[in-house]
Amino acid sequence: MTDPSLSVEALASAITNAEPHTFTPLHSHIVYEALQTKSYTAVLPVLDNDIYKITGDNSARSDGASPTQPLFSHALTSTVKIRYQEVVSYFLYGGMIYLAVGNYDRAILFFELATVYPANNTASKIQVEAYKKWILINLFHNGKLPSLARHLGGQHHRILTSLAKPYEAVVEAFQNPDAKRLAETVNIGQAIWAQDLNTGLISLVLRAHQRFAISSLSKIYRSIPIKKVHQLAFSASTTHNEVYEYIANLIASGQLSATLTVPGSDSGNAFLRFTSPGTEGPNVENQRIQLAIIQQTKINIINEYVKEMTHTLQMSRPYLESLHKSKKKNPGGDPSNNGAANLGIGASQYLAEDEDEYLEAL
Amino acid sequence: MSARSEPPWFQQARDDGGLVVSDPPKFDLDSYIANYKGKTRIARLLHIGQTSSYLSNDALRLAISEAREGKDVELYLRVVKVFHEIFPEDPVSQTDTNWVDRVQREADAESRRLEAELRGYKNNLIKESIRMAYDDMGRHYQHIGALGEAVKNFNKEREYCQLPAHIAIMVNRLINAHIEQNSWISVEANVQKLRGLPQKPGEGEKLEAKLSAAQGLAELSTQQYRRAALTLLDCNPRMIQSRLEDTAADESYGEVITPNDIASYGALCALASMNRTELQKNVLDNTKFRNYLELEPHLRRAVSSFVAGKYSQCLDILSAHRTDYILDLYLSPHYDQLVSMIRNKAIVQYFVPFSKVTFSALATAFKTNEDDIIESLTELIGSYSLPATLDLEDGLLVANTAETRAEMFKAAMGAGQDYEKVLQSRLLRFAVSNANLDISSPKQQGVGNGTGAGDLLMGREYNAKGKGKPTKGFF
Repeated sequence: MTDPSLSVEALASAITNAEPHTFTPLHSHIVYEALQTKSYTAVLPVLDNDIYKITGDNSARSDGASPTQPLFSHALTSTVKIRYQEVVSYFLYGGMIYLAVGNYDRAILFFELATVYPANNTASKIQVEAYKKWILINLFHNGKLPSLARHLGGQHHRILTSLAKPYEAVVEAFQNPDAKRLAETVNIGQAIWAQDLNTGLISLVLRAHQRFAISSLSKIYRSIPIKKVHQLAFSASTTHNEVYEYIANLIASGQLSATLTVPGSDSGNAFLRFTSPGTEGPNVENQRIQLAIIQQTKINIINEYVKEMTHTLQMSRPYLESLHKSKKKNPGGDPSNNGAANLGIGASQYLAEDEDEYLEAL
Repeated sequence: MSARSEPPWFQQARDDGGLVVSDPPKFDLDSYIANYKGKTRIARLLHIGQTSSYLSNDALRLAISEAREGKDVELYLRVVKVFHEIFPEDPVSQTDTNWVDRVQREADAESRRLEAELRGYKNNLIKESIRMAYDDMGRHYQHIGALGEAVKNFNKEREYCQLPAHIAIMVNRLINAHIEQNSWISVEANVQKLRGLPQKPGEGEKLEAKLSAAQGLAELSTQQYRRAALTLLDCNPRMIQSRLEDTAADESYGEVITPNDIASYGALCALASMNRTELQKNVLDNTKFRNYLELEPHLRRAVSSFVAGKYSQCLDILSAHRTDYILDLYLSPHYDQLVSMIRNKAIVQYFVPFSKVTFSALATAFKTNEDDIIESLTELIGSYSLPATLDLEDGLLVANTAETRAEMFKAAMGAGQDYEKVLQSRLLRFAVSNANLDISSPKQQGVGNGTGAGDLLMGREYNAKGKGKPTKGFF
């Protein structure tokens, strides 16, 4: 009996040996396989490698210029056209894989990329599913929702929000410190969560609500009697012991950084004292430097891709046409300045030297 | 006077959440009201009548007799109605219908007469007469309480004004009418207008004090406490001098406000909105305002105490005079809020030099109990006014220590991550567009129609018909 994860591993090694940071038709296969066979660890290296380009059959350009993206030369993919569903579902499935392994930050990023994938006055069903999950993980992990409205076109946004209405109701109930309301809202939507296969996420959200209610107390209190925590953050039907146990568990599992002090042996008078997460150890500066270096490397890589993209944009026909037009209007004006201003990426140093040739050819 | 037991109306008012005071105030009603002239007397007496159970009967009787000397029927009826609600058995509370009918008839007759006059002048096209006719009409309508009509007529007067003095008179009338209407935005607008007009040097100064007073009053009533403070603290002291000489003089503003009021409003708004250095500079060291402040020595003491850090002394003075201030027509709705702002400021200022303070020390300093102070602190922390947290175990208020290096690092990493995310999205958007992988509705989907990167730059995506539409996505 072959190990099902072998296929995933094979695909993973093919992808990682090919061009980095580039989406290929293999990507959509691998996430599907990984989810089917539940082989998550094998696919992580692929997911961790952020996508900055898309390859595949690049349609012939009308101006006859050579394609600026090198084609993926593997026999399997060079003749296969990619459809948008593959890219969007890559992000959706990738997010789900990250969820399964507990990497919530990356999961949020992937769902968000799926949700704001360019859509022309429409939205795809895949995006709606990604949006729903994006909402739930944000609630569970961060306690609140960043705003997406300005990244989405009007129609796109409307479709998403109307199809995800029950989820928005959950968001609203979540903001309310009263736990009953959230429980009711969740209850009403039982069938919906089940149909969307989101019941697991919903239960995480419910638990998170309680957690955030407690940790938000740390904004006002440094040390607070459990009795008062009970009064402020729990429903009246929970017993004192239940509250105590719950908090103890939160602390033990590392989700709440605090200590419980119990004067005497009676937990009735216990106090919860909030501490700052992770006291500074002697190595903290080194760790910081490491983190900063990693981030810097990553940003440098991205910048390389940005340079390439900028170059491509500036070589394109419509852009050159517009430069030519504005040059006609402003004979004395410096075209390179206009270019940089239009691109807004500080691109003046990336302008090709032989640009004038192209301009005259028009 | 009649027994001082409280009429049941006041208990009801209290239950409904209204402001009621039962102690006798520090001022004498007759001398207090003598400072004011015109219709504000009635308005103020009405307010006192509805707020002070101690003075209610006297105030309302005075109000009724004042109203009967005027021509505003509606105001009379209103006062009588209130009186009747509070003192149903009192014979004075019966409406004098004869009076009402007579005054109504006279008012209508006068209105018609003035309108006829106006028409006559308009036919003759004598600008000055037309102006005066509009002015008379405006004043007439103001007297009988038709403020909307009054304002209309004063506005029409505008185009017939030829001298700056005319304009000044007209705008003044407008301001007073708007004050009576409580249209504070219009008051502020007209004050600005008049300030912008050039005046003869002597006239300008005379106007100044009135304008500052009106503006300050408007700002107070619209809860712009800091601006009110700045305006009133800058008020020209001429008003005091002229009032001392002759209360009926043109320069005194007794139809709206007295210098004592200016002192009170200015000092209280300043206390609520300024820190100690500003208070020292703008109130105590202010030579102009000193003239006003002398009229209310207890407020000067309150401000000095606050500046010296003796917060409980300051708060004591303010609460000792609460009754008086609640009985002031314009200050009444704001007084408690101002005091609470002052108290909160005092607490925050008190804590500034400390890293830890016990609740009991705070409670003693502010002459209250621990529970009360904890409640105030919770509110302050929750509204981000106090950077501290409560240690209920040890009974301490603890200041927030900022771990600046850690925070800076976190911010830097956060900025880096945002940058990454934005760039990644841009790259993806470009790639998607370049490969025609945008999501389009089925009839729009064009495959391989030769669009390329340049169209991305133009922000367009071509559908099958070749028309451009802007797409969004990936930031």
